[in-house]
Amino acid sequence: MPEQHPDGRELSSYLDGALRVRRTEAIARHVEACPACARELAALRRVSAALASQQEVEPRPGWLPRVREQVAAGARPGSTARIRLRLRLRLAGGIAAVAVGLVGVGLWLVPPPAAPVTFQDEVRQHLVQMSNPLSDQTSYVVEVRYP
Amino acid sequence: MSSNLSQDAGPLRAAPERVPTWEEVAAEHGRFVYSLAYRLTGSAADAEDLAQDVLLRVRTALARYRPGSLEGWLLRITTNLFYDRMRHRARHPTETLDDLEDPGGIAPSGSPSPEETALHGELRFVVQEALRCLPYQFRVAVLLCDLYQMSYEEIASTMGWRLGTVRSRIHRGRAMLRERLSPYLEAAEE
Repeated sequence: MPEQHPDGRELSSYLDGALRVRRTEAIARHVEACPACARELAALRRVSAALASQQEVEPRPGWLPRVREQVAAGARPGSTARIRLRLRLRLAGGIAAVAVGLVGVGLWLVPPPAAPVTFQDEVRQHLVQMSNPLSDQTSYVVEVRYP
Repeated sequence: MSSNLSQDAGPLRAAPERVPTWEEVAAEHGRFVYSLAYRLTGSAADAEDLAQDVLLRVRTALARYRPGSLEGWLLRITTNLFYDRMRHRARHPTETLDDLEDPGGIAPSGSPSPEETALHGELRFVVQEALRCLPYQFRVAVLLCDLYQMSYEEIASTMGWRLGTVRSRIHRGRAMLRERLSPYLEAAEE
C-alpha cells in the first residue's frame, strides 16, 4: 500500500477536487492500489451523482399570483408562516377542546352501573306484585334459593 | 470547482446587465427560489412560505443588489434565511408544531424494495426523502455542493462557515445519505 488510508472526509474532499495538489496526487495513487478505498470513493460518488440529478421542482400553480398579492398588500417577510402557525395552534386547541367535550358527553350518556340486585330486593318485588289488586296474575310461586 | 447555478436557467438569469425589477425576478427566478426552498425544507407548504419570504425580502433588497450572479444572490438569501430559521427553531422548539412531526425512516415496512424502487424510477423521491431526514446543517452543505455545484470556498463565503466546517458537513451529510441510499443506488446501477 503506497500511503496510509485517507479518512472519509479527505475522500469526500478529493472527490470534489478540494485538496492541495500533492495530497490529491497521493490519494489518487492510493485509491488505484486500494480496493477498499476505491469502493468507498465509488459509494460517495454515487451519492453525489444522485443529488446532482435531482431536478427543479415546480411550485403549485397559484403560488406566484398569491405572492404578487402579498407584495401588493405590503406583507412583511414571515407573516405567512406566523399566520399558518397561529392557525395550526388554534386548530390544535380546537381539536383538544372537542376531544374533552366528547369525553364529557360520553361520560354523561353512559348509564350509571346498575346496583347489584340482592335477594331481598327480588322478594320485595314479588311481594309488591302479589299485593297489587290490579295485577292479572292470580298466583305466584316464590322460589327462594339461598346461596 | 465552479458553481453551476444556472443549470436550469437561461444566460439572462445568470448575469443580467442591469438591476432587474421585482416582477422580473419573481417571474424569471421564482421557480429557482421555490425549488431551492423545497430542497431545503422538504415540504411544499414550507417551501412556499420560505420562497415567498425570500421574494418579499428581495423587494427591499434589490436596491442594494449589484449586477452579477442573480441566482447566486438569491441562493445566498434563501439558504441564509432557511438556516437562521432552523437555528431559531432549534433554540425555541416549543414555538412550532413542525418539530413534533417525525420525518421517519425512508423505508418503512410495506415500502417497495430497493430493486422495485429503482425499477419504477422512484429513486429521485427516495433521494429527496433521505435528504429531508438529514440534519439541516448537513442538508445545506450537500445541497450547495452536489446540486448547486458550489466550491468549498463559495459555500464558506455564502454561509459564513470556516472551510473545515464545510469539509466536515459535506462529508458527514454524504456519509449519512450513503447509509440510507446505498441499497437503492446499487440496485439502480445494476
